[in-house]
Amino acid sequence: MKKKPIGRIVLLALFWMTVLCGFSGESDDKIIDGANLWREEEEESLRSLVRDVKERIGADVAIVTTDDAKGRTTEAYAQWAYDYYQVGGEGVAGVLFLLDFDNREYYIDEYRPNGEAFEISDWERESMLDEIYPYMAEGEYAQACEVFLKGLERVMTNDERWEEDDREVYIDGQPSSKKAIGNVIGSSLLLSAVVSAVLVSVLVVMQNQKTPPPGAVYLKDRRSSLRQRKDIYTHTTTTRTRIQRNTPQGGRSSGSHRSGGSYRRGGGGGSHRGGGRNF
Amino acid sequence: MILNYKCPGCGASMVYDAGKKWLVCDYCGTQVSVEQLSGEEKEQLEKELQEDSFAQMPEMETASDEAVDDDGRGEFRACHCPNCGAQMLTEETTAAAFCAFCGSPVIFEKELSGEKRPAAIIPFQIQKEEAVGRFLKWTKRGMFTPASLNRTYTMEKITGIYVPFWLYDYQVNARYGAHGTRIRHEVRGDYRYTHTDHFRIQREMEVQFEKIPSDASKKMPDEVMDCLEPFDYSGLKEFQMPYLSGFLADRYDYTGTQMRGRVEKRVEQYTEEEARRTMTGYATVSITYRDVRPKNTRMMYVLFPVWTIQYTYREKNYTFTMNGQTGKIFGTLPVSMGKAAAWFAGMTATFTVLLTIIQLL
Ligand SMILES: [Zn+2]
Ligand SMILES: [Zn+2]
Repeated sequence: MKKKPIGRIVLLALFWMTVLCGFSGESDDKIIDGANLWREEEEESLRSLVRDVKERIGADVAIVTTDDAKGRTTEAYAQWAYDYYQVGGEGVAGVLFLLDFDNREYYIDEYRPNGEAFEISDWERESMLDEIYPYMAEGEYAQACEVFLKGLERVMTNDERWEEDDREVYIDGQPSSKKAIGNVIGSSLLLSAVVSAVLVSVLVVMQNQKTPPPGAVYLKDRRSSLRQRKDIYTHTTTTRTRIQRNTPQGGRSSGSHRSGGSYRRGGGGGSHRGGGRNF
Repeated sequence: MILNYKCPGCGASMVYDAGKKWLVCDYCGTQVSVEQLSGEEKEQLEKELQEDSFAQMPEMETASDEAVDDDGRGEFRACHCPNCGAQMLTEETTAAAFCAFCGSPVIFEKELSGEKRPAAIIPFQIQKEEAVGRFLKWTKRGMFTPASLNRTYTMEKITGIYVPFWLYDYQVNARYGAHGTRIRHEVRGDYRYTHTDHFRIQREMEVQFEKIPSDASKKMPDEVMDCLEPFDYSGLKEFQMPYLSGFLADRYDYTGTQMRGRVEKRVEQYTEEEARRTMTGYATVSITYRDVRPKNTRMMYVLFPVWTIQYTYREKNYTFTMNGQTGKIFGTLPVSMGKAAAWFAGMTATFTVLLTIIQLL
């Protein structure tokens, strides 16, 4: 007898929450196109992508473009825009992706309220920036945003593909699971065992090494006389390889500026952390 | 004729002392210089030749008379000890040995004269006691040497032996052709360019080598003897028989001409090393053409001092060999599996901890 009304209330609450969320989602999607970049269909498709990702990662997501940073650095503008457009809102985490055409820099900013731990590690943010770079460089901005959203979802939901890489399972130096620690120790152990086995066998061989002296010992007057010496240049062969700019190494050596890992206490007791890169 | 240097004081046998560089009598302490003894030895020889040129014949029966073939290990020679008269059986190539009965040092003059007479000798610089000391020190060396080695090994035999060597001088005329590359990198646009510059390298050179040694004894393994090199040639002395008193000595098994092939391989290798030294500034060099003409300009028969210690550890035989002049060592130390495993475990643990920390940071 008691269960029925509670069940009804819960169901009713859920219904209204869904409806409200749906409505607020519709109006709250933060696609702010200050640079007037998006065509209508592009904006629509980004909007629905953002909505999907938001749901899956449980944090607010905003995509902001500007061609006037109002004299601010990209980082400062990102944080200003975060507050100004009320991304996240009170006590909710959020991620803002800024395409700043004034400073020619794109930027990922993560906000966490009240000392919550950041979820995007420096390494993860750098690889996201790396993945986005080719599209930014080519002017494929819509695709750049899609790549950002995909990367964000992967990072925030700890997709299995990322767990394979030992570096991925640590966020801000905190192990995310015991299994991950096991993996790290296991792989270290395996590598160490192989290296040690090689080292020990080399040392065993070296203990009983044979070393005949070099021929120079028997050289008369310790020198030889060179009668003729010719070094003739004949030709040059050339090979070329495309620089992979979407790998961390390639991207970093491409000379693009990056500003990484900056912290700022937000107004509501939260903090920002982000990084960007020139394009 | 078999020589045995008698002490002028008490008549006991005298042996060469590597520390004092004189012949010493162990009983009364009398010391005689090598020069003095070999002078006497010459006089004595001349006298005997004048008196009766066959005087030594009854003392030394020829090898062919009493040759013993021991599993093809070579001819044996029988003779009588000049000290106690007991019969001695030695290998045909032995030039110096000891009487098995009275322990007197004996020198087979016949194996050291005529064309078998060495031109020079490097006398022992390291005495027996020092050789043993260095061996003991060496057994404690090495990361994987069993800790029980210096307590439980058995020293079977310690031998100071003069090993026959041929020394060769070579004059080499050589021409080399080689292909060399240099590499440049360049980044242009989205591409990384690797330019390889190719060069044709030519060298013509004359190289002279002096006193390249080659072990002329069948008994001593060539690789081991090579590893005892180099000998310090400033210690080369004119050959005199008294140096051999108290040591073993072999005369050559191989003639200088027989060993030439082996030496010429070394000469070619050394010449190429020299040529490569002049091909600098390249990322890679591969020699494509070589015309090496070695000319043997001098050949010299010498005796070099070598200590060998045979020891057994856990029923396995090991040999320790040492240059009797410079102390350079060649030997195989037993490897303790336990120690190797311990090192392996220790290294693995350390690396694992380090790697884990690096990844966590
Ligand atoms: Zn005496
Ligand atoms: Zn005797």
